[in-house]
Amino acid sequence: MSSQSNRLTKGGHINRANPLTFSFDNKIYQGFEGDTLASALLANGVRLMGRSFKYHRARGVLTAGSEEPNALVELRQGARREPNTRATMIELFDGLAATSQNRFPSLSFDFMSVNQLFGRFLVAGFYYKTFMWPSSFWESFYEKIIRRSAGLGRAAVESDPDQYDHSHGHCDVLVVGAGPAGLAAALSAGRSGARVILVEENPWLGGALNLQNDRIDDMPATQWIEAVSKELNALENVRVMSRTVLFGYYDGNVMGALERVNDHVAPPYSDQPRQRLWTIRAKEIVIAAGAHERPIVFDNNDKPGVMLSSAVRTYVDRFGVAPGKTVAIITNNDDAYLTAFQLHAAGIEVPVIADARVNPGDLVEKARELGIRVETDCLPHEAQGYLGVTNLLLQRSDGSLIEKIACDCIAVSGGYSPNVHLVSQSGVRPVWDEKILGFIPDTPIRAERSAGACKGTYDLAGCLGEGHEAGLAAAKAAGIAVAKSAVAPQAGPQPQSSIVAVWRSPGKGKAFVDFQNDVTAADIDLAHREGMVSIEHSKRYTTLGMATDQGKTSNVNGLALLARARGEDIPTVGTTRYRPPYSPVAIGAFAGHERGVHFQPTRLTAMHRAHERLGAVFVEVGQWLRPRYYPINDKETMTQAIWREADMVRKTVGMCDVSTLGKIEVFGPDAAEFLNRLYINGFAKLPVGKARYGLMLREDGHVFDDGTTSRLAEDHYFMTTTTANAAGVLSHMDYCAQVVWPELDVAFCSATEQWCGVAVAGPRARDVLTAAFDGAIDMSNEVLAFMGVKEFTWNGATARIFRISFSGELAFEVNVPWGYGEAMWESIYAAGKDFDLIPYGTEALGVLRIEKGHVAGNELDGRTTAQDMGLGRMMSSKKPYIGLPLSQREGMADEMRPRLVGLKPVDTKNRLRGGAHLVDDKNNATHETSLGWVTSVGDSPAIGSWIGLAYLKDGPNRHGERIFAVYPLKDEVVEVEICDPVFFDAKGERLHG
Amino acid sequence: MAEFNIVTPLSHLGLVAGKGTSSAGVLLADRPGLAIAQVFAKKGKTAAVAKKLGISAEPCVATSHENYTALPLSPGQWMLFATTGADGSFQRLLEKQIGKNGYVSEQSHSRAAIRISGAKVLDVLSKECRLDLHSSVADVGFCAQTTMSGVGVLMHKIDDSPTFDLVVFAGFADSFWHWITQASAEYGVELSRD
Repeated sequence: MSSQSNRLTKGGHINRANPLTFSFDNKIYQGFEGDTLASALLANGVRLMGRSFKYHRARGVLTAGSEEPNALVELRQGARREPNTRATMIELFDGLAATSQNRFPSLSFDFMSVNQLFGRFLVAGFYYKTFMWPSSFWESFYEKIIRRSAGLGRAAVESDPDQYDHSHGHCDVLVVGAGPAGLAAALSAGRSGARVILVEENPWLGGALNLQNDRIDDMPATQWIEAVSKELNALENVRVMSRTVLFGYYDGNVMGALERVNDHVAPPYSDQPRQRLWTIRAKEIVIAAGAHERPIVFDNNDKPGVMLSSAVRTYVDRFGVAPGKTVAIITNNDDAYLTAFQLHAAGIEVPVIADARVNPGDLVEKARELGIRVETDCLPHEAQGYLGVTNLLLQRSDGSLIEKIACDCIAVSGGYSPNVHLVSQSGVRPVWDEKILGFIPDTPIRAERSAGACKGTYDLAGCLGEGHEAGLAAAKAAGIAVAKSAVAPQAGPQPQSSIVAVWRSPGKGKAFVDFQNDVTAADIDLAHREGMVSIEHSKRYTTLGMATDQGKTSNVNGLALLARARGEDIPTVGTTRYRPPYSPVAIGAFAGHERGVHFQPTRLTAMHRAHERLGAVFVEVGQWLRPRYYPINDKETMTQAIWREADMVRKTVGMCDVSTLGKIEVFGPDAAEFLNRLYINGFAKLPVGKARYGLMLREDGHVFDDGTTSRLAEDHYFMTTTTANAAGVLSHMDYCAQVVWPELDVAFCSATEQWCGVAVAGPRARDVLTAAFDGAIDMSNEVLAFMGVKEFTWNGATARIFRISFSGELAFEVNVPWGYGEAMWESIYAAGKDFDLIPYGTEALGVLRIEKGHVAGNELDGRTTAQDMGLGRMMSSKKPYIGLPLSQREGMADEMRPRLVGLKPVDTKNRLRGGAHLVDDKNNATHETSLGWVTSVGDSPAIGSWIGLAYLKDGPNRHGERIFAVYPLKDEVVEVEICDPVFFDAKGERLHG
Repeated sequence: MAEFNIVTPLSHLGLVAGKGTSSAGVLLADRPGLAIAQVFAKKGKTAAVAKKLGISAEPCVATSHENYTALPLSPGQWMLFATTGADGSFQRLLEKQIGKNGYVSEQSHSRAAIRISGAKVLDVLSKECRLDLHSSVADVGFCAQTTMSGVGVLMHKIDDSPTFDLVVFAGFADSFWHWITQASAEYGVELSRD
């Protein structure tokens, strides 16, 4: 086990009493509670943490926060392996295992780093240039090579064992970021009584506050943070969400946030989710997202050990870690001096502060008083070292070299970029502020306001004041009465920092702008020379800012370099639009609990348990589970079971659960007129106690749905729809009633689940039902003729019996309330024992209806007309109805459209396939020669062969002819005879039996 | 004839009555056997129906009557709940009460009602409910129709503890129950039936 060689003896907000053991690339290390993986690795003297995307250059950690572009690792192992996690955001836990990525065979010796030698071929746009020819090589060869050599980590191949959850939050004021500005905003809004949600991506509050040196309200920062945290947690109207990153700003002040509920502990998490995806609806938003420090672009500025100055400070201040033993500082502003002072106070050697400014100001004197050397008008020339920094070469702005400084860490500050991601997502274009050399938010266009560093205010007192005011303003805008006397937290004054632009320190080597996507200063110049003068083109051509870090550290440097190449100023070049997500979000978090069988809810009928007891094999029909068939034993195949079930219905009797049909009760004085306008056939004159088959069209004239609708009273109809279309029909009716014909007095509601239904079909159907219902209802032809409806009482329940038939047999459908369904099923099943009754599933139901030429979902596919189905004669000429005008269009009324026919294989041993195409010449089967297609097929016991329904051009006039059904996917050609779609009992004698 | 047995959507779970002493963060109770009816007013008769039934025509506010609770669904439409009358007698009673002013659809068997209470109610509901259920917005009596876990839900706030009733279509009851018990698991959950 390695010792923590770079851990400072004191300081840091870590718990030294709780040492944690972890591994990186299978080597065991120790850190402390409160560490991140990055701080713990640095504490152990590990600088090399990754390899770059394209050139496989050695990389170390650049930042201490979520903007990290370099230190991406694979976290955890096996099914929980997660690639591209930022070492700076991983909280250390005991047993944590992380692995470096994008290297072979090891991190310190990476074979693919030869890419650096070919660097001149891998410049901006190299995909477009190098791999152009021959084009056939792209998929087979080039893409594979690129995928292997360029890239990030490996995703787990097993299914993710963890749970993910969703949640919805609502508030008056959402505060984004718990730095000094955010805390002040949450305090002022919270104290006003507003419902506040404070979101902070780190596990701690305080943001960039310096724990050792900052003071607020005459307290050390740590003490102030603790007091604020305590007060906020005590306020019932405030919710503090740490470990939560706000990743998206959407319309209507809807925000997306990801809460890392359990990423900081070792799995498993029992019943808790690993992460929770939040949708937060906020009346007002205070954005206090802080600012990101920028690197300076100089040669080899990506060597492990080159870090942002603020990150160096954070590692010392928060984690008690020395990022190096000798830390050279490069800056163009005052901020890095604070880093120098903190390093000095921690006893770490600072050989030089290289300041690009000619007259930096007062801090120079303070540094020199501490014995720190300060060079002004001084720029970095090059970082040197193999797998980490060993030297820094300095130069004057005119390019003359000064000297070589030995160091193992370089702290760089190129100034700060206000974090304008969220305001940019809200639609506001950030504007350039020359004073701070950064983009700041323009006037808000949504209910949001920025405060603190994300608005370009960098001094502590200013951040606290702005946060306080923003919190009050937001609460007030949300309609909360705000106390005027509230006072902002106080901090001492700080001198205004000056800054000088250093977009590219002179040099000819590789100077990186975007570390994660390996974009150099030269790439931007090259893209410009090749015509990519717009920032949007430059971005896409070079891929600058397009990596998972969203260019947080690189965007401003990149567009400044483009501006320089164009010879224009930065505001003229402008900035690209930022898009969600601000920070990467795992797909699992978006999926939440909706995965596997729970991807959608499952709908069960009242008789589901009875089907289970009978050993039914189920099939998903929309959201419903329906019995597909009932195998009598383990040996019976699906094909055999379907054939047997269909056969038995015709020979004796079968029963089938038809509860899933959509059922709609329609009431009202205008119910008859309403249905008359919905259906193509008449319903106004349907007598009470009778059912009728009806067909509906869409407005465009195509068939929408069909079903049997009965009249129970003058002003009360009972409609049925297909299983799949039930909700669609109900919403169509709602639209018609509310928008199209508001004058009609009609009301309707779903009754699909109030009633469950069993169809009993076959020559013995009447006998079975008479026995099952103990003669409670007379089902004779005289009392209940075909298409008749009767109501009766069964065991105290209202039951309805419909004399309708889908199978063409003597058949009844009986409906009872849901709770009686299972009992009814059992009663009929028991009564059926004496009549050889079998239960049948959807497959046998399909065979029976194909034998009768009845259309179903396969034929009602949204492209077909009533004429296509042979139902043109149902179209009433006496009334208008939905779809009538457009069904008269030339193309819709064309006699040569494919129309419904039956098909039989000429050789009865052959099977048919749904989806096969019909052609006259089997040797010329193409898209152009196709005459139609097969919609439904079944192995028919009644006919003794496979049969099918099909749409065929001029089909009704070709009965008796022979053509070919081709199925190229299985290389099948079957000769078929065209026939009438009604294969069985064409006269319909059986259903009147 | 087979042995006769009326089932309810969740009766197969074999839940038993709760003790009411649970320390679980979430209590879930199946409420089987409620009488449910959907009432429609004819055009221009909304006020008349509301008056006949003694219920409010205001949106999103439940009226708790001595014998039933009415939840408004849309203008001129309510869902009414009672503890007895699931055999259709509640529907017939209402039909008689409103006379020619409207229609009543029997729905007693069409829904499952689940009562949720306990300290973590809002944490569970907010996992899927997009509506703001904070007491400043959703007072006692609040009712709304929404979608949770892909299932249409009619919800009603019973009391300020808070307790909610969630009413779903019978076919979705199993699926919804699975989701809500899973969602409650992290807080500790007690399952029972009324």
